[in-house]
Amino acid sequence: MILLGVLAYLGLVAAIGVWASSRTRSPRDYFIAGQRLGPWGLGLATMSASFSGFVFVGGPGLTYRVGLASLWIVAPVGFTAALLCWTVGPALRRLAADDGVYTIPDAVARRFGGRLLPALTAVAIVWGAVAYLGLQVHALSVLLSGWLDGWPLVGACALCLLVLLAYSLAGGMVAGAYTDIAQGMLMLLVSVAVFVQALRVSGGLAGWQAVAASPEFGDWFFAAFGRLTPGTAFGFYFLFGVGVCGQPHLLHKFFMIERERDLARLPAILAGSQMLCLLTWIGIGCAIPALVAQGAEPPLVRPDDAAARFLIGHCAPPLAALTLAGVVAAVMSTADSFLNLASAALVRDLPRAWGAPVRNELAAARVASVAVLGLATAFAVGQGELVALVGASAFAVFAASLAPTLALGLSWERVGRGAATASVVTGLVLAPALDGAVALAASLAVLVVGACFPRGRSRRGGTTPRSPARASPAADASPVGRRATRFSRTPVV
Amino acid sequence: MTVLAGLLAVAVPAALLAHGAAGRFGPRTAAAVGITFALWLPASFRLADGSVVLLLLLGVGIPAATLAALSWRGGR
Repeated sequence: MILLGVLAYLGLVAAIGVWASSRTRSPRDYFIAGQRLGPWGLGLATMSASFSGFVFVGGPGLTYRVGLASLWIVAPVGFTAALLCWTVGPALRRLAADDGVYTIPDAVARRFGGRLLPALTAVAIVWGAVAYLGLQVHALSVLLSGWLDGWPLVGACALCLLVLLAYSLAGGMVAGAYTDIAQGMLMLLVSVAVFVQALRVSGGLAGWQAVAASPEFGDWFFAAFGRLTPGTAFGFYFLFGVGVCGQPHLLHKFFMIERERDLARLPAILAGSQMLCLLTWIGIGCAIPALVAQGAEPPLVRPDDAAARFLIGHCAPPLAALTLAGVVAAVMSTADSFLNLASAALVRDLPRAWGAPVRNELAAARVASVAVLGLATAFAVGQGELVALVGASAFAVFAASLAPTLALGLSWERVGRGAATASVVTGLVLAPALDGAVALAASLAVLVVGACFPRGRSRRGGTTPRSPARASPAADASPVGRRATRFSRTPVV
Repeated sequence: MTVLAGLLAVAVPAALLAHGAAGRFGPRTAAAVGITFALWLPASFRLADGSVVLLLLLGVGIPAATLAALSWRGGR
């Protein structure tokens, strides 16, 4: 029953993929869905790309370990949707209005010029994508090994690798945006259903109070900082609040929106759908400790097994099938976005930055996808850490290396190529060595200092995408004028 | 270090939001958004008084609804 449900879901995704493939006629269709998405489609696609195994498997696991303080990671959803739609979103949408700007490195190249900075951006994308894909494989393996009792983690990893490969090569690469919308709807449905079920089986909010009184847990479970130090909690808030501006799988969706004015509605749709989705994190994260406290479940040896334990032991088969399909949807949509981005960075952005474009990009992209997925699986097999903490370190790579340049650099004229390059290099060097929040703070400081105290020509960085609302009517009259409208040197702010 | 981390966690997102709001709504709204947001998180901490549910409502739900309404209402 459960397997049939998941197979039915995969069939539905394949059907959407085939339908969407028939609408793909040009590179613009392939890379940015022909810029045809409205605010609802974009909101759901962005939500499903942003939430992955991190939220559905890692969130409940981290809550079991540190208490509800784990929510410091997701608390920034109160402002991140507005932050994205007011800062980096409009800049990317305006840059994507120009032909040939299909990826984040393309946008960086158009804004700052040069070859080194787009190449470094592509390197950051490949590196972060491998880590994030590893996280998805790890999360799915943890779920499957908990489900298929007795399966070793390596075997579950191999199964995940096969499923991901089949999905991406069977049309997911072409139809990512449309499948993301369907997956987003499924994730919302599952989140609400799981939250209601979690409340029902664990005795409601009153049942959750048993956690505070149990010897296994204690008062700390509901405390504001739980088992985190205040510094770590604030670090998570800062990293996930500001770092969201550097996540290429989310930012790429802004290339696809049909009209820039639709960005005004996106914060309500994106923040609303994200908050609904987080009900899974809170529901399973509180229900399993409550069931352990009530003696209905033995304590978990591996906190990440919380989601699998809940689905196997406390959900009827139809809901378990729907939920497993929802988790697979979350993993697939995010993994597909990363495979797309990493293969595009390897076969398109890096060779172009070196002045040697690849002839058959589509075939090369498929080979690159297999290589990237292989690397990610090797990364996943070596993981012994909680899924959420692996996710935080993958998030930090993008946050530290890309967020300052994209959030500020795209629209702040004083940011020159030198400052942006120094910021990206700082993030790339510090992200693996230091705490993610510290690396992000350092790369942000480098960018701001570089912008405030420019050296030589870097003071005039390049072409800043400018709001059409501020352009003069005369400038729109000619093709040259239209280009100047979009890429004026006049600062946006 | 904790105080520094807390300041960073509040001030940097507030400044970035103000930066984005300035392009969309103009300098006055930007200043109001930046200052309100910078003060809101510490205030909601104080008001929640250790209750995580209340903190989620005050620190996440209300800012999300306010920013979404502001954005929906429009700008330039």
